[in-house]
Amino acid sequence: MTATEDVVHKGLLELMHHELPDAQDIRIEDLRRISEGLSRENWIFEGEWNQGGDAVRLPLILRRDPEGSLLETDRRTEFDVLKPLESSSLPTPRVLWLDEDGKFVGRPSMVMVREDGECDWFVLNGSRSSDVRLGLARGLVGLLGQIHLVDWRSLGLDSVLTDPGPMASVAEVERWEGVLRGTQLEPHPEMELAISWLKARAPKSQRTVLVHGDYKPGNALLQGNDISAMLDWELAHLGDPLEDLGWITNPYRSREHQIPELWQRKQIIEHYVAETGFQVTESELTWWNVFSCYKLATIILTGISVFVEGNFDVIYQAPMSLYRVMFELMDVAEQAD
Amino acid sequence: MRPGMTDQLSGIRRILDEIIAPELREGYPSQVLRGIVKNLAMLEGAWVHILPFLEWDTTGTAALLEDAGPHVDDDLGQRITDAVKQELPSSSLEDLERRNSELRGLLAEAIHQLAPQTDAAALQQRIKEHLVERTRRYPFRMAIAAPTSAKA
Repeated sequence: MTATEDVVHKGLLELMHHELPDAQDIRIEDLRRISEGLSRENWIFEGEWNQGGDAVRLPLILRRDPEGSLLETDRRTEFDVLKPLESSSLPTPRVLWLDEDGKFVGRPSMVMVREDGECDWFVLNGSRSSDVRLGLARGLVGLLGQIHLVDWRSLGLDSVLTDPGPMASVAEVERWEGVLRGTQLEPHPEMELAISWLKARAPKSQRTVLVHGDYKPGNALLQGNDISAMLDWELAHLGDPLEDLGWITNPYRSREHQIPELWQRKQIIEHYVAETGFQVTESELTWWNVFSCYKLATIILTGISVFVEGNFDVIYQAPMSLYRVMFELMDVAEQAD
Repeated sequence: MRPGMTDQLSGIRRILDEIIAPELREGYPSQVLRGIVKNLAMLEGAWVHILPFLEWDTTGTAALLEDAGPHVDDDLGQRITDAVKQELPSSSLEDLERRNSELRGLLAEAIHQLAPQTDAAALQQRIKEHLVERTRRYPFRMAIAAPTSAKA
C-alpha cells in the first residue's frame, strides 16, 4: 500500500465510523485509485459493516479534491445539490457522506454509491450500431431537458444555489473571469477579446433552470445501451437553459456530442425544444457557444497553471484550436446581426 | 551537439514508452505516462519553431500596439510607446519570451479600451486576424491521452 493509499484508507475508516456510529466491523476492501476523472481523485472500494445484525456490503466511490485541479469547486455544494435530487426522477448518483474540510481523508471529499456501468466520452461515435448511438443521443438530450424541467424551488435548491436572475449570462462570464484572473500565468489577449465580446452582447435568459454545467456523454453512466445515471455535478448551478445547450452544440466538441449526418446541431435543437417546450433563438445559442469556448479555455488555462505549480499530472497547452473556433463563432454571430 | 535536443527528447520518449510503460499495471500512473509520451513526441517536432514564432508574434503585436496608441488613454499610450521603441531582444529565448509577454499584456489592456470605439473597428479586426494567425503558428499542440472508455 502506498503512503497516499494508507492515508485514504485510514481516513475513510474514520469517516465511516463517524457517519455510522451504530455500525460494527466496518471494513474497506479493494481500495484503489482509478485513472478516470480530471478534476477529482476517484477512489473505488467495497464498504462492509454490520448494522443491527445485518451484514451490509456496498460498492462505493470516494471523490477527493486533488492537490491541483482543472476545477476549483466546493464539495459541500455538490453534496447539497445531489442530496435533494435523489427524491426527483433524475438518475443521479446516491451520495452518502461528506468530508467537507478534509478532516478525515486529508482533503475535501464525498462518498457515493458506485453503480455498475461504463462512461465513454465518445460513445456517440463508437462501435455501437448507428441506431443504438442515435437512441443514446436522443436519450442524452431528453435527459438534459428533464434536468432543465426540474422544479428546483420545490426541491429546496434555492437554499443551496443562487438564482442569478435574467442576466445569468453576465453572471457566468464574470464567474469564469474570476477563475481566469486567479489562475492565469500570463496575459491572454484572446480571452480579453472574448470577455469584452461576451459582455457587450450578453442575452437575457427566458427562465432560470438547474444547469448541469458539464453535460457530456463522458459524464453519463451507461448500462448496456441505457443511460443509468448522470454524474459529475460539481459545476451545477442555476442559470440559463441555453448554457447547457450551448455546451453540447459547441462545434469544438462535436465529436463527443454529434453523429455526422444523423445527429447534429439542428436535430439536437429540435429534440430539445420538443422535450422542453422552451424557445431556442439561434443568435442566443451562438452566444452560449462562444461562452462555452471561453469557459473551456479557462478550465484548460487553469490546468496549465496547476501543472506548472507541480500539482497536476496532465500537460495541457494553450488552447489554440479552441480559440480559433471561438473567433469563428464570433464572426458567425456578427454576420447574423 | 549530439545528442541534440531532438535526439534527447526522442530517446527519452522511447525509453519511457518501450522500457518503463510495459512494466506498469493499468491505472493512474500508466495513464499519466501515456500523456507524457505523447507530449514528448509533440515537443520533438515543435521546439525548433519556438524562436521564429516568438519573433513573428512579438513584431506583429508591436505593430498593432503602435496603431492602438492613439485610441487608448494616456497612461496605456505612454506604456505602449515605451515598450514598442525597444528593439527585439536577440540575446536569449527567455528575454524574447519576456518581451512577448509584456507586449501581449499591453494588447490585452488595449482590447478593452478599443472595444466600444466604432472608429477603431478596422484595428480591432486586424487584432483578431493576428490572434487567429497566431493560433495557426503556435508551435505547441495539445497532446493528452484522452479518456475513451471507463468503468465507473
